[in-house]
Amino acid sequence: MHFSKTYAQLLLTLPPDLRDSAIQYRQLKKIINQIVAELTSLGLSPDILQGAIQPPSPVNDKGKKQLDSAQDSQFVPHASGSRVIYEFADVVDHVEPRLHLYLDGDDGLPSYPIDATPVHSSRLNIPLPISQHILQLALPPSAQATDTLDSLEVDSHSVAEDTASINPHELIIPLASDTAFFRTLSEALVTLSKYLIGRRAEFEATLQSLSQDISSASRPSSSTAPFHPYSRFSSDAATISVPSTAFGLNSKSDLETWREIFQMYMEADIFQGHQERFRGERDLEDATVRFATFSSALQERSSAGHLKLSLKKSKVALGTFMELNTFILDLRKFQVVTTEATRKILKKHAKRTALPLAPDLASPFTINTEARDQALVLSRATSQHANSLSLSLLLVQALTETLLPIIPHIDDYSCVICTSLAFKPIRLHCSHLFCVRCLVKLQKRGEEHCPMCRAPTVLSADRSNVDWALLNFMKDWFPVDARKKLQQSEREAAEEEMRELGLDVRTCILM
Amino acid sequence: MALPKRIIKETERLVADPAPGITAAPHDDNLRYFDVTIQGPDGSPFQNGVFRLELFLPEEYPMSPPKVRFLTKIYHPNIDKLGRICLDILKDKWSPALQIRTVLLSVQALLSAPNPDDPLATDVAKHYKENEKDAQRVSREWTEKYASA
Repeated sequence: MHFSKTYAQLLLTLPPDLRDSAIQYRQLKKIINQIVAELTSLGLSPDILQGAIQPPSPVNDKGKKQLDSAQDSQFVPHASGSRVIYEFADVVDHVEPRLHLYLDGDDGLPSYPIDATPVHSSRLNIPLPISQHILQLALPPSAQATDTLDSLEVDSHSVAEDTASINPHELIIPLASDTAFFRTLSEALVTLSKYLIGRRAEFEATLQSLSQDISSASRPSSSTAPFHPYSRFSSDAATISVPSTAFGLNSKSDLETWREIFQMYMEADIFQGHQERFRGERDLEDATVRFATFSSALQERSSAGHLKLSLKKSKVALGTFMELNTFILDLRKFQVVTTEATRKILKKHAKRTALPLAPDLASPFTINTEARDQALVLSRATSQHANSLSLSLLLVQALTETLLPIIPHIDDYSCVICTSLAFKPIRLHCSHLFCVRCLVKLQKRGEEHCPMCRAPTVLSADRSNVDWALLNFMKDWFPVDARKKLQQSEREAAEEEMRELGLDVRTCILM
Repeated sequence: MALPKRIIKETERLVADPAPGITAAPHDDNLRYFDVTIQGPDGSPFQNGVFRLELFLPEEYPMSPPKVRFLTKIYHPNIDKLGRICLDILKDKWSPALQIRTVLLSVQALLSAPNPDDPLATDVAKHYKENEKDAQRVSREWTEKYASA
């Protein structure tokens, strides 16, 4: 299938506002036909151009910025035969591609004045026959007609000595259709970048208000329910037994549900891999599949009644959350499609016109510095722009950095030994944290060294090592886990006590 | 006896996100018993070898260390004929903050950095101390003979 068709179909799968700011591939294709026609009218049909064009040297690269200096001494080939160079000149607000002919020959045409204004007229001054004449003039007498243009590229070194004194004649042919092509393309990209900058701002604003909504929908129990903080004065941490109702879920908060949603979201690892084997941005297909899996898992859990959002604003917030993710996916898709369309159209341009595809010239990203800065947002990080990030990745980071920290994650408050919530938390003098149950086990084994740093702090730990602030924080933010952990620890301690008394609990446990 | 949560978590991660060059899978009938493979580290005489090990989590784990043993024959000063490993963290330097994953990474590192001054296989250690080049040649030979995948 032709790419233009594929492109149109891909665009149809995107939301209308993205679709409308896409690159007009068909239009650019038509312009390419016009370029070919223009070149042919100049006697420079693709067949002739094939192989005749030399990539500009670094000197030319510098020179091309100033039209006035085109006849600069650097620019006059100190030693060279006739050449054709395809170059880009910065003209006020756009980039002008043109052909630059250097001619050697005593009966050549007079040098044309070269500056910004006569550029157009100079082209008009060259009727078709003359330009062909010029090309033929450049032929060494022995060359066959078919080799003509190959021989335009005379080995500069061999000619160097002989022709050093001859002033070559230069000819600049601006290419109007080609100018239109690059203008259309770069304008499209600039417009696109501007549009995307707007969407990014919108995204961030939505994210901010979403963050507030989720925060207020998942407040900890201390904010609404009767919450009794522990205190070293009022209770004894080693013996507190808390009635399980004290941990009752606050019905006015969706804290635990949001925690579960975020947990599932993190495990789905949709846009970026965090595994040993794969880190970094996932490709579009992978991300699409992962997002679909995540959203159907979410659906399943909620229709099975495991995932209950009791607040209306939570439900709205979840909808917004999913929309933001969908937007990032669409953007990724759009980026892939646009990058591909740009690459294809430039390739087609080079192939059809036989004008060379010099990466530093052909890409509108590098011609116009302004366009490049903006285009960075769109283009994926390449070796050239190793520090740049794709827009979608920036949005993913904004999303995770803004939303996920709203709800404390249990991994940050877990005991490294049992891997569950470090409740009740004991802070050793070396500052490492463990749950009281694991610490008691360590002490019973006569273990003196901290499992984290091997400092001799275990045996000296006592009630004064309870981290009261953290204890309250955990009760507040992890009501379910704290209750579970407490029950489990109590049961385990009881079993242990029985074992120490010589009773085998495993056979007579009654649940 | 129910499997502690920690072992379940460790197993899940070992299977879902294995460390490079290391695999560990629990037996179906005994979730405390793991089949392990470790790839010989590049640049060591064990390069290109795949070594099989067994790992067992005792009842007291993680308060006491896992028991780890090479099943593949290996010519290494800190690993004896029976595959027992001389590694401090598997003995007196064990810490319950260590995991199956970190233990296996340590074993892999031991292959890169043999320590003949603290030998388990005295004859191999002697060989390594007296003529390291020749000892490494034997290690390579054994790797090719017993540990080629």
